[in-house]
Amino acid sequence: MSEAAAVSDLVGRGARDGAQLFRDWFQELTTARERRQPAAYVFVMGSLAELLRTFDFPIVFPEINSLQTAVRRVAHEYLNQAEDYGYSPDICGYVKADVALQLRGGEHPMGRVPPPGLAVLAVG
Amino acid sequence: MEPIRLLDAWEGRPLEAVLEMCRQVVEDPDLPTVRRWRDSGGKVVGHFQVYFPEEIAHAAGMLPVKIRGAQIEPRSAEARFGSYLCSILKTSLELSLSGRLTLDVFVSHPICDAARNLAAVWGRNHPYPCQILYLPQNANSKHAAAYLRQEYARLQRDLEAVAGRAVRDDDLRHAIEVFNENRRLLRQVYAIKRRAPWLLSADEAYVLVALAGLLPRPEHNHLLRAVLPQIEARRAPPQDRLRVVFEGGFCEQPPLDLLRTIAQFCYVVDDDLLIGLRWIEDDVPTGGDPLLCLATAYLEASSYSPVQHDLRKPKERMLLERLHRAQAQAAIVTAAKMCEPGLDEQVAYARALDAEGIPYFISEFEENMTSFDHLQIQLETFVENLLFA
Repeated sequence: MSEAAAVSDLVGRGARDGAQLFRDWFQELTTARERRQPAAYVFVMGSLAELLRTFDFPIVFPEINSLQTAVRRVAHEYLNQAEDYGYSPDICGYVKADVALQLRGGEHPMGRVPPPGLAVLAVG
Repeated sequence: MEPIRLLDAWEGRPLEAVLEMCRQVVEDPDLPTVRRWRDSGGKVVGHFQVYFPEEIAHAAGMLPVKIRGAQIEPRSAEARFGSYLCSILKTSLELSLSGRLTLDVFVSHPICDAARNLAAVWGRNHPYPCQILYLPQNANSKHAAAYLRQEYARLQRDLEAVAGRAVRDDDLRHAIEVFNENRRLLRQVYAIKRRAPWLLSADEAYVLVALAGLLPRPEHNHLLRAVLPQIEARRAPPQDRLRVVFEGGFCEQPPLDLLRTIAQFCYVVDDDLLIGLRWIEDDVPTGGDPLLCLATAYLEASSYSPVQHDLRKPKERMLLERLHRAQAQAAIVTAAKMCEPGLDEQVAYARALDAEGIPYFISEFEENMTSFDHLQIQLETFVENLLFA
């Protein structure tokens, strides 16, 4: 493989593969919802993901859900819905996007998020 | 040795003069009672909102001081915190940075995203120990009391090191007795508010409670024992005012002038102002392991707030109970600006009140606000809509 071809293959691969990982991740969550599997809701930091995985919990990162609504350019719809429900404009956008996600029954531009069966909180 | 006395002599003075003195002490950002305590050689534990087991500090011979912000400009603290954070964090730190408040230990709690960083920020700016007390996140775990007892034991060891003396179980039991009396007296304050609110305005009740966070409890008990009968004996006729519950004062405190504005139109028959000082609602047993008794009381005999999550105490249901117990006609549901826990809870409160058909007034406040005209007009309209419906 020529050097030019190798560079061409490398450039953009991270974004492509990253996007595919996200799609796969949300597809897993959608499938889990269809199977009515209880999910573990966790923070990105201190998530205990490895431990929860061994119990076959589908793992939901509410912070990622919120971020992905912005990446998909629909965050305003979620934020407006939460504010219409009663949440103050001063409340963090991540919280409000996830409130709206629950109000929509888990509907997300990347798939359908299962409801929580367990919440893991981390402080520190 | 005669215990140090922190308030000026008030015995024999008229009730109104005593209440005015209390108001001045509570509103003074120079914290004169704490200064006197230190000048006499005493050591001080500063504890941030909401709840702190003050009995442990008392048993170590230290003065537990409730850090609840102040009406001051947080000039130096602004450089240590983001602009999007609530005011109480900044003014609390400002009290120490400006030299108004000198501590020997500072303790905070991870009650919200902002406050959980407070001890670390405080510690970078002061030479004395600053630490976090981790109250149990899951109050419903069967291990919560045992966990908390160990956390209290850790706190006790740290306070002993600063105080330079050991705390015996009997010291703790005596402290619990002192605080049990204080809790009984504070319950009497609230009983008057509920039964005959025309005898004690919202701001007067507030300063009487707030002094608990600025005085040794025996001195506070002495004061309350003297003034409560005088309040009961006041000759004040009931007026045609709306009976309301004020909700939203669990952490950052509204200015006294805001409470006075509300009191122009309403009787505040119950509230969550400074709820940490009234967190435990019953006597704590003095037998057995005193730290375990305190830990159990925190979980099993306590009030509620947006920063404690206990499935047995859904906040909206607790608010409805507070309203019914006080025979309130309406609720004033407030939150401090930028207070995520308070603002979050407003949604659940509003929905529960709607479902019950209970009128409510939603508002935000900041401890440093100075203009109340807008609030006054809104509140007057709200009250008149109900009284003349």
